[in-house]
Order: sequence, then C-alpha cells, then structure tokens
Amino acid sequence: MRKYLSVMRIAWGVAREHAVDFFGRFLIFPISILLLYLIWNVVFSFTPDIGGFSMKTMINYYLAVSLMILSYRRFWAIHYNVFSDINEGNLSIYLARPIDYQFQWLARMVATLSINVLFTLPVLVISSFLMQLPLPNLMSLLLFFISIYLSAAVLFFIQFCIGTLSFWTERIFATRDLLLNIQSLFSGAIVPLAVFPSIVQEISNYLPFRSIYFVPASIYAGYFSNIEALYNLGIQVFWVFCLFVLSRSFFNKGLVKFDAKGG
Amino acid sequence: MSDLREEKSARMNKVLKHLFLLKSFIILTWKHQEEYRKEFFIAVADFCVITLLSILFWQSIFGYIKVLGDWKLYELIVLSIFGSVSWTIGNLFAGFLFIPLKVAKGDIDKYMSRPVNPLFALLAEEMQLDEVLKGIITGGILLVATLSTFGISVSISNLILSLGLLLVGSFAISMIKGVVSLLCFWVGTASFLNTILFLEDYGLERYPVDVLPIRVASFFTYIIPIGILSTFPARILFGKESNVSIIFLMAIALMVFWVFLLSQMWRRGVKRYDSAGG
Repeated sequence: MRKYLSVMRIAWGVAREHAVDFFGRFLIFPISILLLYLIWNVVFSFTPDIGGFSMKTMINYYLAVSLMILSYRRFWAIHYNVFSDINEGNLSIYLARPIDYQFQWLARMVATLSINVLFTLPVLVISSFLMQLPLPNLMSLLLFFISIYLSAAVLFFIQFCIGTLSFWTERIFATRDLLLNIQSLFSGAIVPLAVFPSIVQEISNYLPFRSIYFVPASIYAGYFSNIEALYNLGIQVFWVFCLFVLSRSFFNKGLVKFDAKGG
Repeated sequence: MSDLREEKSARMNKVLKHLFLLKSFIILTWKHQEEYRKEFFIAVADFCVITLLSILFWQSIFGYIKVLGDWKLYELIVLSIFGSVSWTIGNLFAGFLFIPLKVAKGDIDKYMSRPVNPLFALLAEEMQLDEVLKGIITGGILLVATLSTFGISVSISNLILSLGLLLVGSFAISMIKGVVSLLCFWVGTASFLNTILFLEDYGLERYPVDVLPIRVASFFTYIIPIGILSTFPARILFGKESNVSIIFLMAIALMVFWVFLLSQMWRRGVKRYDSAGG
C-alpha cells in the first residue's frame, strides 16, 4: 500500500505543476454554462418540466457534469498511456518493478482526481450560489462526493480496457472514438438520460456508462432522493467490480502476447 | 520589365513548389489511410454517432416543445449536421494543435531547415485529410437523408451559400485556434488559453445562437464565432436570413483579421524560438 501512496504523492505533485493548465480550462466554463443557461431558459419558457427536471435542477445538473468533465480530463488519456507503454515497450520496465501496473495508474488517477475535486467542488458550490440555484444538503453532497470517485473508477477501467486492446492491434483510436461517443450518449453528458426517449433510457440501464455522469450529477442536482442515490451508488460499485475484472482479464491475456520492443 | 517578369516567375515557382509539397502530403496521407480502411469506416460510424447524438438531443427536447424561437426540429437537425461537419473541416489545420508540443520539444527546426514556408510545411504534414473527407461525405449523406425524410426542398444557391459560409467559418475558427496555439512562443505549453484549442469538446455549435439575447448572440458571432459554423449556414439554407451578404462579408473580414494576426504572430514567435536541441 505504501508503494501506491508514494505513486499518489508523485502524481499529486505533477497535478499541482499542471494547476495553471487545469485552471485555464475554467476559462470556457462560464461561457459554456451561460450558453446552456440561456438555451434552457428558452426551452423552459415553453414547458415547466422536462423529464422530471425543472429549470434549476437542469442547470445544477449541467454544472455538475461540466465540472466533472473538467476533473476527469486526465482520465481520457489512460488508454493512450497504456497504448504507449505497450507499443514503445515501456511496459517491461513497469513489469520489472515490484508494483502492479494497473494499480499504479489507478493510484496516479486517484491523486489527480483528488486535487481536481478539491478545486472544483468550491467552484461548483459558488456557481450554484451565484446563479441562485438550490444547494444540495450535506448528505447529498457526501453521496455526490463518493459517487464522483466511483464514476471516475468506471471511466478508468473502461479506458484501461481500450488501452489493453493495443496488445492485439496498434490502431485503437477509431474504436476508442466510436466507443467514447456511444458513451457520451448513454452517460448523460449531453442531456440527462431522463430526457431521452424511453428506449435510450432502457438501454442505458444495462450499460456502465450512466454511472459516469448521470448518477453523480443527478445526486448533486437533487433529482435522486437519498434512497435512490444509495441504490445508484450500489449500481456504480457493481460496474466498478465488473469492469475491474474485465480490464484485469484483458491485461493478463494480452500480457501473454506482449513482446517488448527494444529488448 | 524583365526584372518584373523574373520576380513574377520566381513567385510562381514558389507557389508551385508549395502546391507540389501539399500534393505530396495528400498522397502520403491517402496511402497511409489505405493501409487502414477498416479504421476509416469505424471513423465514419463515429461521425454518424456524434451527429445522431445532437439529433437525438433535439428530438428529445421537441418531445416537450413544438418550436424553439423560429426553429423547427428538422432545421435544428440540419444545424447539428453543419456543426459536426464544421469541426471536421478544421482538421485541415490540425497542425495548430501540435505547435505548442513541437515548440517545447524543439521540433520546429525540422521545418525551418527546409526551403519552404515552415508554417505551411508543418500544417501540410499534420493535415488530417481523412477526417475532413469523413465529415464531408457522411455529413452530405446525413443532410440529404434529413431533407428527404422531412420532405424539404432547398434552392441550390442557398445550399452553395450556406456551405460557403460554413467553410469560411471553419477557417476563421481554425485561425483563432492557430493564434492561441502560437501564444506558446511567449507563454509556454501550459497556456491558460489552450482551452480554446479544444472548443469542439464543449459542443457549443449544437445550439442556435440567434435564440439568445442579442449581446450573447453577438458574442458567439463576432468574438467566438461559433454562430458562423452552424446557426447562420442553417438559416441561409432555409432562406431565413435576409442579411446574407453582410454575414458573408463579416465572416470573411473575421477570417482575414485572424489570418493577418496569425502571420504576424508566427513571424514574431519564430524570432523568439529557441530550439531545445541547441
């Protein structure tokens, strides 16, 4: 465990180094939120309720999603890191170390996420306050916090699975893009899943993607009651476990095929 | 007189040399793409998914409302298709995204040692023609499918004008990205403005800017001109725009302004460039 804490400490330092870049991404944040606010304002002028979301719940939902997208930015590169390590032969260096390859990446990401969440949570609460949106109660905030880590784990294991495809093919990027766009449909990144036609909602129930944005953002926005939130946290845990097993088996199977370039 | 003729011929030769270089890179990209045909089809499917996402978004919203401003569902679907196509056209200038990294690694040397314009060589080398083709072909098919599904006919002149504006808008946004990217000569790779380089991640072009309050709409037309990517081309296609020539002139003026700024920044930036390799 100490080894992974050291990795986390290093990753924490790196994340701090990139703090300027991270904050830079907030530049577009007020612009995109303003645009969403105004568009939904027009939409809600025709109807008071869309898929069970009121105007305020909807904007809170988008606030949470926007800030999660910012916080998860580094997670989107996991597949590329795994791809590079496999194709450039760096994986053999990791394999020679007394540290698990997958867990060291997970430790790095947990550290990066922690520092990002530390910065984004106040921004989220202050934005809600400024826009006169209802703030979640302490219980919802705590559940949201737990849900963020579980959703990041889901994202991490999906990305890791994509990366391990590099054991079999050098061209994983088109497949990645396709998968990620399917993911953005079923994850609730574009619009809450409850707004989509029932068929999309039905399919999303059988996929891990809704755990990425829809569940945490709905908890923050107050769309879920505490009981519903706990139930959805359980589903997140289930998907984390399934994807961990899947990514582990991909990695172990691929390792048999691994042929380190450069010796 | 003969001096003038010589100068003209030298200029012509220079242009031909650059065109030849461009042709070579196009052939190289094409050959590279041929190796991975299956990838191309997956990428086409990917483009369809992106566009269908926007379509599904508007379809879901229109389950609750009948009109949005003066926009109908099929018009917003076309707006979504234009939005997706515009970003893929931007891949002609994908090289801008790599400039900060190349500057940091000292890779600009490679281009400066060649007898061609270094910025042109860099852009030609990194151009992602397959992405552009993917967008144009698939976008074209989706556009025809949408218009025929909803039984909408559009005039050829409106179609040409709207596609022309979309092209100018894509170029203008690419030039803005280029200017932001060149800031790396002054502020390094971790520029707080880098977020502009990944503007497409935010999906802002999915929304019609003209339903917004006038000041906000102006911001998204003149400052961050995403309105020229999708809103105005869609309005022109459906004959809803009365100020076509003004919008066109404004878009061209914006593009010229950013091209000028880009060339000035490149000239000054290169002077500051200090290769990492010495």
